[in-house]
Amino acid sequence: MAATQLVNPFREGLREDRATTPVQIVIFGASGDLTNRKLLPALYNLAQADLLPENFCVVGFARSEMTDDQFRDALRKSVAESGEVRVRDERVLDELAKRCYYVSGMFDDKSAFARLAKVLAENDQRYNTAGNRIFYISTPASLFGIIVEQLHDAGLTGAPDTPGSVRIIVEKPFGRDLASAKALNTEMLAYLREDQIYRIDHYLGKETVQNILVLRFANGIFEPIWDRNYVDSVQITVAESLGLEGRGSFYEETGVIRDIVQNHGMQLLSLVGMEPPTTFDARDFRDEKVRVIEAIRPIDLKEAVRGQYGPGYVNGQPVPGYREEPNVSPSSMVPTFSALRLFVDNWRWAGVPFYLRAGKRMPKRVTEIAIQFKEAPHLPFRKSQIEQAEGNVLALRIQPDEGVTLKLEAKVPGPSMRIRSVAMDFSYGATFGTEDASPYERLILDCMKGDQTLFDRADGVEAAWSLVDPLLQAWDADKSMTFPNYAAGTWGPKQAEELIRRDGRAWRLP
Amino acid sequence: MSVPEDGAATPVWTAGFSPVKVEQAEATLTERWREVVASSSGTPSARALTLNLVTYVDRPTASGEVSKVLTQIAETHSVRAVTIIEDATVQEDAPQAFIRPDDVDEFSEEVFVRVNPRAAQSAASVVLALLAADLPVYLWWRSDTPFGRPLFRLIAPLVKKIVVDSMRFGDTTAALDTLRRLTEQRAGHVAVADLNWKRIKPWRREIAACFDDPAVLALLREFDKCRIEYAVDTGQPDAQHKTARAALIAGWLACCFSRLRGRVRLEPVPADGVRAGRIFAVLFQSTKSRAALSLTRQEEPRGIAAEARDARGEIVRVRFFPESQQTEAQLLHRSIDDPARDPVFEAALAEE
Repeated sequence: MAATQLVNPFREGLREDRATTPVQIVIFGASGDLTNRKLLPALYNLAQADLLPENFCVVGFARSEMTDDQFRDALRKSVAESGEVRVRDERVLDELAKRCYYVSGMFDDKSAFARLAKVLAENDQRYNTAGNRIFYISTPASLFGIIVEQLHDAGLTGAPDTPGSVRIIVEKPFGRDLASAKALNTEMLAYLREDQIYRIDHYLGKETVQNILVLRFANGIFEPIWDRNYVDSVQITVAESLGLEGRGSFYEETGVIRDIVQNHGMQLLSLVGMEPPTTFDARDFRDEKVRVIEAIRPIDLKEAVRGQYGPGYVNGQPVPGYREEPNVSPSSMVPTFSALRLFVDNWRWAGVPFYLRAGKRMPKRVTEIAIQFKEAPHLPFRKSQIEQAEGNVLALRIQPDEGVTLKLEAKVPGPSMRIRSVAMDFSYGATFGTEDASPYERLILDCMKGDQTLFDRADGVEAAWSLVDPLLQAWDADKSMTFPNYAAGTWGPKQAEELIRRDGRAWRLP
Repeated sequence: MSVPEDGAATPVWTAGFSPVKVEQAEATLTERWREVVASSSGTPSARALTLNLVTYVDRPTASGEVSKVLTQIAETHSVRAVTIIEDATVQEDAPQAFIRPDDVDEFSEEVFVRVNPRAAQSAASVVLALLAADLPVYLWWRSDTPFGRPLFRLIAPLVKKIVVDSMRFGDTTAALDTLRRLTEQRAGHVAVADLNWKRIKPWRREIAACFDDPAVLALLREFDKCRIEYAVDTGQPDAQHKTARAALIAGWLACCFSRLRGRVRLEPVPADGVRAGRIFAVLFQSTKSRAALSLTRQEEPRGIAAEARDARGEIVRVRFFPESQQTEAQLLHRSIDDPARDPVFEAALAEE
């Protein structure tokens, strides 16, 4: 019997989360910002938590010239400077650093990929990694196709006659519109199978995003009322108080729809709107997510508001307007805010508006989903007895202050019958107290285990682009908007208020 | 009997804890919570609990240690903690309750109750009154065997999980009989966790980690016997040897890898200055070749050194696993982290 066919009989009941399959992780863009801020600290945290396999090593690949030792120093520096490293253990760091290697080269240089293949082959011998590789492509999307093609040409994409498994992680944004996303999928699928591609949206790696699923599908009380009969509307808010933080060039090419709505916004909407999957395996779960996105009615331009922030105050500090930010055109028409009124045309959600707003330089950083329930059908109380009666709200707070709040009506203590709203608040951190693993840790580990559940599938990505693409085209074509139209530190332009007020509703103040 | 040391612990009532009437303990905690909410800024945390943890100790001094452990547990588990402290100096019909001193920064849902050992019914009634509604009850029995104790008989029907430490049952093979009886409580509807089982987890984890390596896994077909070396106090008769941990590892090995069934030998190793029962080494061996996997406790640096040899006796892997901390709070944390029964533990017990 071959050794690889044996199963470790002592593993049962021990650290089921641990990735045990030997593997090498190759990071393309290894000298970049994401690698230093997120990926290397995530790998260290996984090592510190004993979640990495014993037969494991890391190979960095980037254009910058660097030796193995310099890459190891970069690891030490990123761990030292990262706010996400929970426990610093020099022994763990030393061990991980010893297993780091670096190859420098251009992404379109065949000889560089030949050198990479040689290093990987040597590491297979050294670490007994059995030809298993994860290629983490942390580069601009324009390089995805080139890198995959080079990997294929170098015999590294896992041809049927090659032992071991090959998986590729690619970072969002996956395309910049429907056409480019399709082209990218076609390009990658020319050399890879869909089950080898892990499209990462770190939002899905957040504990609190996953908690939405637990809240919905592990509590019998919510599902029966999670539909048009009981839900009045849904508000999804993805607000950032920050501006561009030096990413002006990036944002000029992106804007709020590509940066937030097409990915994070759609992820949140799909989780709150999806049907219960039969199982939480990758296929069932992703099938249901895609169905929701596909069921969203094409966006009516009259129900979409865009905005761009001007100068204002955030947290008491004066901040410049978008057009005054570095590397931003003084006449830029890129939206930094959007508010959409969406409908999911299916049996469950027919007629229920989903209001989705996202923006930069909002008064505070907050991501939440608020389920506004319908009011009680009949109130046997006099109007004067009711101070507020806005119906129950279940607010799922994704960040910060992760938790769940249920707003309900209660009697004010006293001899008279007076009613007012109170909030029952569940704070995730206060109850469980544990420090969350970063989304990247969870997702890298899932990839090592071959679990695609929390990664985007090609059809899901394309469905989301299909929805926002007409809006992007229309906004690109229409330069008649007067920007800026909201002050930094406010909840967006007046038109956003009007969008929801037309329905007799108002945005929440999260 | 060798039990885990409680250090220089003092009873909580001499450590600044405030007395409170039993019937007012709940209201006092609520009042404290209101003070916390009133003084906090931003979104107030919910007074959300995940379980009731009822702790039993049979010595007043142990209450101080329990209080320290509960403080650490509270960092990761939001629990209502009710600790019953047996103290013969307390009147039978007058249990005394204590809560932490006022500190809005450190609100904790802890009540310590001092009861006379003969007042089991009184103690049980206090427990019932202080349980947070609708939440599972875990019992941490921090004493010797619970069988024959009236308080255990009264509380056991309420509990979903019992946490014990077989080291406190004598740490011998006989202690495992007590564990087995516990797992049979209420027809197996109660989960049992043993801190001693958690104590050997590093050995289980490192053995499993060795076999994650394909080169070592390939040696598995060679192995057909195993030896576990453990520390003994030479002054003790054989029957008093602290074999519980070695026996648990043996049971676990046999249930994971049936070829080792009946072929795991426990070997006592005289050792001065080392707590009896401590595991020194686990050695996988072959009767047909020179293949071997040895995991040996090492003092400097502290940890477990592993070495795998192939059928020709040549070294194929050498590894070192640094020692991980094993405080009582950490062991308890791991025990209450999972509400379910532990089938691997129960299988190991059944195998032993």
